[in-house]
Amino acid sequence: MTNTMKVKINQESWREATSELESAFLKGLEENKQKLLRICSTYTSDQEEKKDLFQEVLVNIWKSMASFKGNCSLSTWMYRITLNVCINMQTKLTKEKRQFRNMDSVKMSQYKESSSTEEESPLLMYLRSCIKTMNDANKAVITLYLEELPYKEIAAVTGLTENHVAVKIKRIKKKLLNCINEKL
Amino acid sequence: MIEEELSKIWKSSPQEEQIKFDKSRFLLDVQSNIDDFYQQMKGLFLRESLGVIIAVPLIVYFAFTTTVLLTKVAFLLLALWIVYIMYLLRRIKHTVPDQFSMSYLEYLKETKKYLEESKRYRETVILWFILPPGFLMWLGLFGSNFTDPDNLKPQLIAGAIFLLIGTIVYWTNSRSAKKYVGPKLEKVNGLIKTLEE
Repeated sequence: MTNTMKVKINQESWREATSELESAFLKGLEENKQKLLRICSTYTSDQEEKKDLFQEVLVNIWKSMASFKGNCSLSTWMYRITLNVCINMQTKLTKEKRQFRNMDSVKMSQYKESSSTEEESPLLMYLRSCIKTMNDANKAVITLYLEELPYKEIAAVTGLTENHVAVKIKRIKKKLLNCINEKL
Repeated sequence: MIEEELSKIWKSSPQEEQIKFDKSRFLLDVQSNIDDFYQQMKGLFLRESLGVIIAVPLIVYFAFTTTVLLTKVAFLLLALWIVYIMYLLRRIKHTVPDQFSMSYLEYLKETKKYLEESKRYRETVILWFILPPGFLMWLGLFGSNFTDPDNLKPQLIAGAIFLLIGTIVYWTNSRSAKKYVGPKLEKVNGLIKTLEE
C-alpha cells in the first residue's frame, strides 16, 4: 500500500471517528442540557457567569469525548464532568471573568410562552435560594437527587456508596425542607 | 411540604433558559477554544524547553572553558540543578487531576493532593529554587575570583541581582501559597469532610 493511500485511509477513519463523536456528543447534550444547566445554576447567581460555567462544561465534555470509555452511561459521565468543572471553575470565573466569551453559537433565552403566562413560583425561589446556601458537596448530591437520578447513579457520579448516598440525601432533604418551611 | 414535591418544584422552573444551538458553529467555537488552549500549552512547553536548551549548554560551556576547578564544579552542578528543576516542574504538572475520568469524591481527593503538593513547593521555594542556584553562582564566581582576588565587583553585582530576584520569587510564592492555594485547599478539605460524613 502506498503512503498516499495510507494517509487517505487514516484521514477517512479519523473523519468517521470525529463525526461519530460529534453525533454522540450532540445526542447526549440534547438529552441532558436542561439538567446540566440546572446543576450549573446552583453554583452561581449571576446570569453571565452561569452561561460561562455552562460553556465551560460543554467545552470540557467535548474535549474529553474521545476518552469516554463507556464504563458508565453517557449522562452519568456528563454529570461527573459538570460537577467537577463547576467546583473548579467557580473561583476561576470570578477571578478571570470573560475568558470563554466568544461562543456565540450558544444562546440562552427565557421560555417566552411559560414566562409570560406564569411567574416563577415562590416555592421554586425558596428551593433555589436554600440550595445556594448549602456547601458544594451537599449541592452536588441534592441536585442529582432532584434530577431524579437513581441512588446507584448518584453514587457513580459522586464516588460515595449507595448507602452513604441514601443517608446523605435524607439529611440534606431534612435541612432543605426546614429551610424552605422557615421561608414559607 | 412533602419531600416528593421537591423534585417537581425543581423541574418546574418556568424561567429556565432555552438553550439554542447553532450546532455546526458550536462545534467550531468549541474546537477553536480547545485549539487556543493547546496553543498556549505548546507555547509554555516551548518556552520552558528553549530556556533549558539555551541555559544548560551555555553553563556547561563555561564550566569546560574555565580553568578553575571550583568554578567548573559549581557550573556543572548548576546545569544539573536546571535539569532537575525542569523534571520537577513537569512532575508537578502531571499531578493535575483529570476531571474527566474521576468521580466527584476522587476528583476532590486528587485536587487536595495536588494543592498540598503545590503549597509545599511554594512554601519551600527558598530551599529548592532560590538557595541552590544562589550558592552555586556564588561558588562559581568565588572560584573565578582566585585569579583576581582584588576584583570583588562581579561578585557584588551578581549577589545584588540574585538577592533581588530571590526576594521577588520568594515573596510571590509565599503570597500565592497563602492567598490562593491555602484557601482553595481549605475549601476542598471542607468539601471532602462534608461529603464523607
